[in-house]
Amino acid sequence: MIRNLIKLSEKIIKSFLSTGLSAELSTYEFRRTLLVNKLTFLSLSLAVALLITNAIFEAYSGLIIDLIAIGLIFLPVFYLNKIHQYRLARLLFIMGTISIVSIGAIFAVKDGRNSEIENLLIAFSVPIVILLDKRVHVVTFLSNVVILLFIKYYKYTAQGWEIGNEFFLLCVNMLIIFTGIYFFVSFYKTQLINALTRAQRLNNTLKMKEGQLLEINRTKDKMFTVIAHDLRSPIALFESVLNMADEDIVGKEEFNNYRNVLKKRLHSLNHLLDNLLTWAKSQLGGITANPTSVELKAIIKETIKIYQDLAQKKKIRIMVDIGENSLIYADENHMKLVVRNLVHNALKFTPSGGVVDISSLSQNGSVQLTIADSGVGMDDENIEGVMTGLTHQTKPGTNGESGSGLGLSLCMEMLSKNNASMKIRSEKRNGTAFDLQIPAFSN
Amino acid sequence: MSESKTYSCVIIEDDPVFAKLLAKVVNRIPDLKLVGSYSDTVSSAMNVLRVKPEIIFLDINIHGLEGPEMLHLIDYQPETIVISSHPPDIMNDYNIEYTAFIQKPLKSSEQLHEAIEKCIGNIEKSA
Repeated sequence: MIRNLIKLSEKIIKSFLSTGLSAELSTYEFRRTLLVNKLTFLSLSLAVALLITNAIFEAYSGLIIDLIAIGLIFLPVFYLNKIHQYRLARLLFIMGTISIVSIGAIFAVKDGRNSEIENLLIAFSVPIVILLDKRVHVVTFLSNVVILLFIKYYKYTAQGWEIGNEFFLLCVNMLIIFTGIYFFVSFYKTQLINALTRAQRLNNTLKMKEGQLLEINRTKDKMFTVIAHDLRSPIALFESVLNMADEDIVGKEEFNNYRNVLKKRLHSLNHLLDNLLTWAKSQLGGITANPTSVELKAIIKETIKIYQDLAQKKKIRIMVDIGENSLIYADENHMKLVVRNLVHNALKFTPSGGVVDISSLSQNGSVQLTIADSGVGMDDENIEGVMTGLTHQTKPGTNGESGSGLGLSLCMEMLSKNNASMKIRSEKRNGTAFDLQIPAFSN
Repeated sequence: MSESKTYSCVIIEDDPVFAKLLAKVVNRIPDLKLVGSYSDTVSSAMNVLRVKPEIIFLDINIHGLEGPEMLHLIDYQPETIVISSHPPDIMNDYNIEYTAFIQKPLKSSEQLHEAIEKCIGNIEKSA
């Protein structure tokens, strides 16, 4: 029974104290709102206790003040916090409490009670500094001092005491106390805010990093699924055809018809495996470039031969303009891999009837190789993903060709190992151009 | 099960070679009548709603919408045999009902028969 009562009251107190608190608030705002709730709850309890006492002793003026305090200040403060009007709640709490204490003190003087209730205003200067924002708290703090001194003055004259040295001394003491409180509290407030801001900043940085890592992880997962599918599909197709041939569902003659298709599939499977193994090797840190003098034209010729069928099928024209003696200084296998990936990409993202343009330009000390297409283009986000290596976005080609995003990120890596670089120029629907800067061979 | 009854089915598969192979196997099963084979999900969705096949063979990775996503979108639920080169746990990523899952490669026509028997059993039960 008693235990339940305690539990219930704990629950009520908790719900009062957590009024309006939400995770969206900054740490500082959260703390201030919690403090307002705590102080208001304390004041509310006090006012209720006073209400009962005043009722018992039939002190009606006190009773009215208590009712005003509860109905017009403390409960509305909770309400304002609840509807997320935090600043207004703080202002109402401070202004309301100062007014109610002042009125109480003046009534006490009028009734001839020597209650010293106005000294509560000294204690009140602390939450003024903590809760209110800079400009407002300076004005409020000064008004609070003036109000207290006025009440003291009113009290002296009401009692018929002389306004002389003693009153002057009181004023000086009060000013010292207030000045002390002000500087002490605002010093700690600044320290606290700085610490909180720093903590919040660190927290934000961590959260951002966490988001980036999650994103990278997701991309890797996606990439892995696509690669797994692209590896499995052709192998599964071969096996299916062979199994059906075993059951004579696919006859001998028909089996012959499958040969060409299977050969093509085998070729792209091989290409994917090449990429994958090179990538795996580079991930293990086992790739070093062995640069030699390489004839760029030969690499381009070889690559075009591989993709001739695909280009014909999509009715894409491949134009080549490479200088006869364009010698580059790079690892031959790496450059083959890069060129193959870029040409394949260009064909993949160019619709039927388009053009792929491969050209080179000798500049001092380097050769610029440009592979441009009239395809669908890349957006800025996509380009940035490739350049930073953070995300591998992938989209299907114009005939629904799938991709893992492995190719381009591999190109970037191979190029950097060969002291070469790549720039991407693209306009949506207006094609993409890859500009490669490769060291030239010099004897 | 009555002897004369045949069940309509469609193939949704973006690899034309595999679709052709699958069609060959399906055409040899007397209980089934293959009424269509589609390689992209948009025309699949429209045609499935039009012909209302009793059984569909569904690939997962299809250009555009994926197979299960397409099925999830339309307001028609045939008996579904998912055929994919992904392992079966990929289906955890999709919220669709399916009767059987066959991971490519197609091992034997028997494997397909078993899945189809299951579909026919379900159709008979709900009839």
